[in-house]
Amino acid sequence: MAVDKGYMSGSSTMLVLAILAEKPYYGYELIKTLKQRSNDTFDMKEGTLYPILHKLENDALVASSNQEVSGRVRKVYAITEKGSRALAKEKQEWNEFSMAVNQVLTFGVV
Amino acid sequence: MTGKEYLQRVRKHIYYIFDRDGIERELAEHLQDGMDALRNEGYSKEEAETLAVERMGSPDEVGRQLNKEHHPVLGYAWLASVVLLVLLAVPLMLSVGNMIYMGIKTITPINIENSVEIYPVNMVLELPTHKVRLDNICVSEEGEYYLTYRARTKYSYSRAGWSTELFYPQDSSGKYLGQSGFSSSGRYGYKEFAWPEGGILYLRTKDGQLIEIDLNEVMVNEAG
Repeated sequence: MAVDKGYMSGSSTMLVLAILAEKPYYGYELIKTLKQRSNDTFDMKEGTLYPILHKLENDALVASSNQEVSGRVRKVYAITEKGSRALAKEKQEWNEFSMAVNQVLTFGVV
Repeated sequence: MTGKEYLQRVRKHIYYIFDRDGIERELAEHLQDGMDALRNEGYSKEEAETLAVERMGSPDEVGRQLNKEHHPVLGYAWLASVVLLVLLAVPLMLSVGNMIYMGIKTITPINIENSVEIYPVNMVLELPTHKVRLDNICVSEEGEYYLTYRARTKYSYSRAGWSTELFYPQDSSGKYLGQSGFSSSGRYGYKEFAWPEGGILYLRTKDGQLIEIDLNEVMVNEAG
C-alpha cells in the first residue's frame, strides 16, 4: 500500500533521520532501505529524497562527505549530534501524537 | 526522458549555479544505481534508463525544492563575503608580514665593523635629556647607509637604551629615511637610512632640532 503524499511529507524528515541514526548512507541506499523497512509503504519518488537530505544538511542535522563506495564516489550522509537530539524529540512527539490518535480512533471499540 | 534530459531539467531550477555540478553528480549517481539494479533484473539498457528516470519523479518539482535549499541570495551573499574576506585579508597579511620583517630587521644587530666604507662625522647633539655623539657614516657590503652614534643620559651613567627614538633621519622634504638598530657589540646605536636627495641628511631630534649633515663633505675622507 502506498500512502497519501501528505502523510509522507510531514514525517519524511524523521524517517530519514531514523535510518541515518543506524549508520551513514548514500541517497540510493537510503531510499531502498526506507522502502524495505516500510514494506513498500513509503515508495516515494526517489528524486524527492535529495531536497530532504539537503535541507537536513543545511540545518546541520546531518553532515555529508564524498566517499568511495564500491569503486564510485558517493555523497554519504551521517547524522550529527544535533540530528540525534532532533530525532529523539520528534520520536517522542510522534509517539504522543499517534497514541492520542489511536485512543480517539479506538474509543468505544472493545 | 533520458537520464541526461532529467538532469538538465533539474539543473535549470538551481539559480545558485555553483551548486549545480554537485547536485547533478549526486543525482547522476542515483540514476546510475537505479539503472544498474534494473539491468540486473533483466531490463534492456533503454528500458532501465526510462524506468529509472520515471522513479525519480518530476525533475521540475525536485529542482524547485533543491533550489530552496541552495538559496541563490544566501549562496551569492556567502560567496561575496568570502571574496570580501580574502580581499581584506591580503593587505592585512602583507602589512603584518611587513611589520614582522621590519621588526626583525630592526632588532637584528648589524656588525658595523664589517662596513666597507667608514667616514667619521664627529658631531655632538645636545638634547635636553641626552648627549648624543654621532660617530661615523658607514656603508655596508650591500650598499646600505648607516649612521652610528653613542648616547648617554645626562642624569645617570647608564647608557641610553637604543629603543628610545632620540632622533631620526629625514631628507630635505621631511620624509622619514630609515630605521634604528644597535650594533652587535651593543656599544653603539645606528640609524639605517636611504640616500637622501642631494646628499643632505637631516636629523630631527626628539626635542625638535633639525641638524644638517652634508654627506658630500663627510664622505670624502675615510677614517683610518
